[in-house]
Amino acid sequence: MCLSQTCEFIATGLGDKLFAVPMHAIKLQTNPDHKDKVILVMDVSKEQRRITMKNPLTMKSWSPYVVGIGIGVLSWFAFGVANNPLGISTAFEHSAALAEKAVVPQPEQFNEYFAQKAEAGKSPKIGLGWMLVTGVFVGAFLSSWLSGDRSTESIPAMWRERFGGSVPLRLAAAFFAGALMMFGARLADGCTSGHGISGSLQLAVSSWVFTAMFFAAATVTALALYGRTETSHV
Amino acid sequence: MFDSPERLVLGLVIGILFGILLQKGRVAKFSVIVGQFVLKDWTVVKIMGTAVVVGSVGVYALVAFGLADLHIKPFLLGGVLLGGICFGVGMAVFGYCPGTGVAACGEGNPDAMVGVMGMFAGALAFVAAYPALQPVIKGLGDMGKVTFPSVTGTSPWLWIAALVGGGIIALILLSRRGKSTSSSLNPPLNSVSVSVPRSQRGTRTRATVSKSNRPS
Repeated sequence: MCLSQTCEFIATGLGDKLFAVPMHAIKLQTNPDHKDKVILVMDVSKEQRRITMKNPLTMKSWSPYVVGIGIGVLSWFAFGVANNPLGISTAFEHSAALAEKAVVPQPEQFNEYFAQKAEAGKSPKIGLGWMLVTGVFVGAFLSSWLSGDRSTESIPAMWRERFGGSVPLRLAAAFFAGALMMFGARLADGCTSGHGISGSLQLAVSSWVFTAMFFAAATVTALALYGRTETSHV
Repeated sequence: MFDSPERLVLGLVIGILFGILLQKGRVAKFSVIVGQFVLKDWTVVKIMGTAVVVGSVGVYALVAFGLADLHIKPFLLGGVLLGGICFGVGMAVFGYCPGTGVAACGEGNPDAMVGVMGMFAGALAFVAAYPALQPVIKGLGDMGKVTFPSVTGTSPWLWIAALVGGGIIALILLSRRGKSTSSSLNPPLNSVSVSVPRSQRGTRTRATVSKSNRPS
């Protein structure tokens, strides 16, 4: 072990492992039991924080409270700058409407849909909301790529444990559940973002009722599918 | 049909930030979403709760200074109740919500990609059935664009104060529970102390190492 002031690192052993410890993480203290000895005290947690705080984007996860504050502040900009609350599902409806209009030129029900939306000043368009959805994809890709948190398994571990390793079963369930979820979101005119966050923070009654409804329905469904005991590893 | 280029770029920037936040919050993961609904993992509630509390303070402040408008969705009883049930059941089986499903695609999950195609199919079905669905959506009643302050005739700041207070109390309760479980189950290693005889400072020596778990 080298303890001269010129050393930047100090080599130390712990069990069968050898560590290089930066000098600034170490303090010398007099050993209270043996006055002729000193103790080197190393603040491991401080050092871990220093290393991991270097670049937040290469971290695999942030505290949920940090993320929540981030989404809250992002909402200020969505309202104040973009005049468009954070929301995802409206863009899907607009894309679907434009696609159907392109494929089937003059069906009555689409005319009624477009007429009603135009009347409400909400004509379908490829707009800010659509780019927001694209951005979520890009942002999540960048974040997972920079932190090495990519996930390319078709079957989540919990699903595999409960329903087995059939890829077609998982993909079929994901397709129809995704369809049902979006159908519900459009019935209620919002999803977890549009109602759950953007609507709730405006103290909208519709949003709090929707959020309570979907949390209740999802909890009942998940408990029925997985139970409480089988998921103790989560 | 298209927004102005500035608004398209603005949407992309907000979306990228939102996507990074969702991915870092681990809510683009099946186990975290479903873990919430089997009441084992409270990440979703922590993120949504914090976002709503922080968001409400800022957005109502912007509105008070005339810098932003509220965008309240109408309370159509049938649509909100039936929609909430469809949404909740679908979300529990899919394992992602619309936003986190798109984020999960960005993370690489094939099942999320198929699910997002399903979401598009659901939107197609909704638009196709739109006229027929109106009695269901509006049939049970239309309360209009109501908020809790507008219904009760009170100041929004009263409600925001309650949200902030409730959030702080929840945070204190959670941190207490977290401390008691983490210290009893898995004590964190806070410091490592190395004993060196004082006489040998500045020379090469073999160090004896002991682990200690001092609370930091």
